[in-house]
Amino acid sequence: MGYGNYSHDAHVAMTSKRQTVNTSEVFTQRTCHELMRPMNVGKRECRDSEAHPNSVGVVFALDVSGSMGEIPSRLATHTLPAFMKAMLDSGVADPQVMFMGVGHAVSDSAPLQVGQFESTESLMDQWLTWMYLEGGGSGGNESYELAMYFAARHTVMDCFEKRGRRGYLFITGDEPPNPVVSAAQVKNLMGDDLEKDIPLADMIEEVQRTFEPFYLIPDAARGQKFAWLWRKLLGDRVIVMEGPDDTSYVSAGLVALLEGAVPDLAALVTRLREAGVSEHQSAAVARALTPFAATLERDGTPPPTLGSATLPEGEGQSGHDR
Amino acid sequence: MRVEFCASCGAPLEARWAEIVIECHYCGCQNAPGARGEPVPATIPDDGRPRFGLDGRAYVLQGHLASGDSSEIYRGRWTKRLGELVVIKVLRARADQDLLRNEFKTLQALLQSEAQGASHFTRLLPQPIGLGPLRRGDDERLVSVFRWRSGFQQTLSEVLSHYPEGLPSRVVVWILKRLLELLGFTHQAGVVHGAVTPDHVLIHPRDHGAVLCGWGTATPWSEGRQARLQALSRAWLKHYPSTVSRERFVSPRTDLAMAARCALLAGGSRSYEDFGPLPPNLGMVLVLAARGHFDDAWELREKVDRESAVAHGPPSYNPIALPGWDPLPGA
Repeated sequence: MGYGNYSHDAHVAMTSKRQTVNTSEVFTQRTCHELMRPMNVGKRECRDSEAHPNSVGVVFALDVSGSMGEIPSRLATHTLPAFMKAMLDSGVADPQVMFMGVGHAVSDSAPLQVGQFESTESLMDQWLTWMYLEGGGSGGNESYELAMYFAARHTVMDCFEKRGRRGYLFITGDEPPNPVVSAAQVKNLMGDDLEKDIPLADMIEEVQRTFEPFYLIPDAARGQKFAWLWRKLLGDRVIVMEGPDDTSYVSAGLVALLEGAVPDLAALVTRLREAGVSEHQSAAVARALTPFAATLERDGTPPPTLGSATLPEGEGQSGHDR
Repeated sequence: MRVEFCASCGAPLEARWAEIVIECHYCGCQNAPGARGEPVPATIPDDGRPRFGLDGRAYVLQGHLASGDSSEIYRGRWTKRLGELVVIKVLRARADQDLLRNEFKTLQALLQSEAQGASHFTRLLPQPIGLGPLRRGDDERLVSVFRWRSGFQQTLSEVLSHYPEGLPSRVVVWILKRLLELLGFTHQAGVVHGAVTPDHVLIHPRDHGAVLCGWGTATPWSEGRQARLQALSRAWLKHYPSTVSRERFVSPRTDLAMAARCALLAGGSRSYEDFGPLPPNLGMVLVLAARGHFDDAWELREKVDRESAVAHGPPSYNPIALPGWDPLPGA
């Protein structure tokens, strides 16, 4: 997988044609596509080719429940070309994108759907629009941990194997995390035999060996409810966006910052503005990325003046009057 | 194109800084400890700086940021590869343990508030991560951990040390407006901060940001019930309205008076009864607020906005020039 050339113009033409069409006409699957079933798939491969000698794997695990279906829909009709262009503009020449659809392992008929790594616009688009937007989304948390499991154990990437560089895993969602990867669900969906459930914290450790994982929450209202729960596990890799339309730019910005393609947030905003992104949206993207950029010390602020890290001893004086 | 800069000398580095240890060709510094070409360690190697564990995470103290009334305050990091930056408060005065706990619990509750604008304003509050003991030998003291807030690294007191004659009045206006908006939310959520002093106002000099820290004496408040401060900051006794220093009873009016007093000091005034170099009509609003004439943050904000428009025209971008800070590109 992953051969062919990325064409921004063709991709824009393809998505813009759909902008007036209903989601159900773009996403026509009414059940999981046969080729997206994760059962016994072995490894999804992200390989270098002559045309793409420096492939970088990028996985979008998109929550396809009712409250989150907007993101895949907007990607297919508006923003995926913007993501690809932002990646190319940032100096990531050979991104290969794989889409996964994430639902609820207990109540959904297709709780995990998996595409292939692709570098051409038509194939990327094909996997994206083959996704079954099952809706639902009530009565429990979506099974984001299954997407982490699949990424960790069922992908193989030249960026990691040949160059020791991690791929990127972007999970979109608006529900709290489940505590474990269920061995029973893994068996049911993928056919793998696990001795026991895997605690989520261990799964996150494992997936970080080959991926830079991020959990993207679509807006501040949902961020206020759930971000703190994910932050316990992922720290500043939890990104609270200001709107679902920022998904592409936020993801591309994270790759650009981590790849060192831009020196800091201010340079990223300058790039976005030069690429025609509105001032309003560029600022929203910068705000969403600020905490993680600070983690990288690339938030464009001077380092704080720090004294010696000597801890207080004995009974220190209070500055309070009681 | 990939650009990476040496943290020590600013020279461009090779790519892959996040993956392998690289040495700067100019100054010889490394992007991470370890042998050249080795993977960047999954955790920060022990270099002798203090560390502690809390809720299953390990933190390293990177350096001292400030001394608070009860605690010593440090910048720290979760010791994972690309682990998040944090602010760590280590209790210095054991007698103030209740205040450190109160701060943590008050902020946790505020973050769950459903008051109007919560999804926006809760992001401006300190974000509690963990509270627990730090043990070294026989010494055990309480620590609290908060998320690092990018850019908010200087208090209003520190900013004013660079501006002994006071800040430009346009700057004073945006500082006060940000404080009033935040206080409007916290009051609606049923909390009085109770210690709005220049040491508890953190400034983002580039992005027109002003937020509050020092929530140790914050207290629940509701209409018709008197709320009482547990303690007063000794360094700022004169900053509290006199009724508060005497009786300890506080209300939103207290916070607004103290915020206005911060604004008067920021504007270069030497007393809370004198507006100094600030435009007179704006200054009079602040003096009245400092006397406790307002109990609604949004009403006061509107008055400040109106007088500022008369004195300065429409709002404009006025960053505070401080060492190390650049204005936004294109601004």
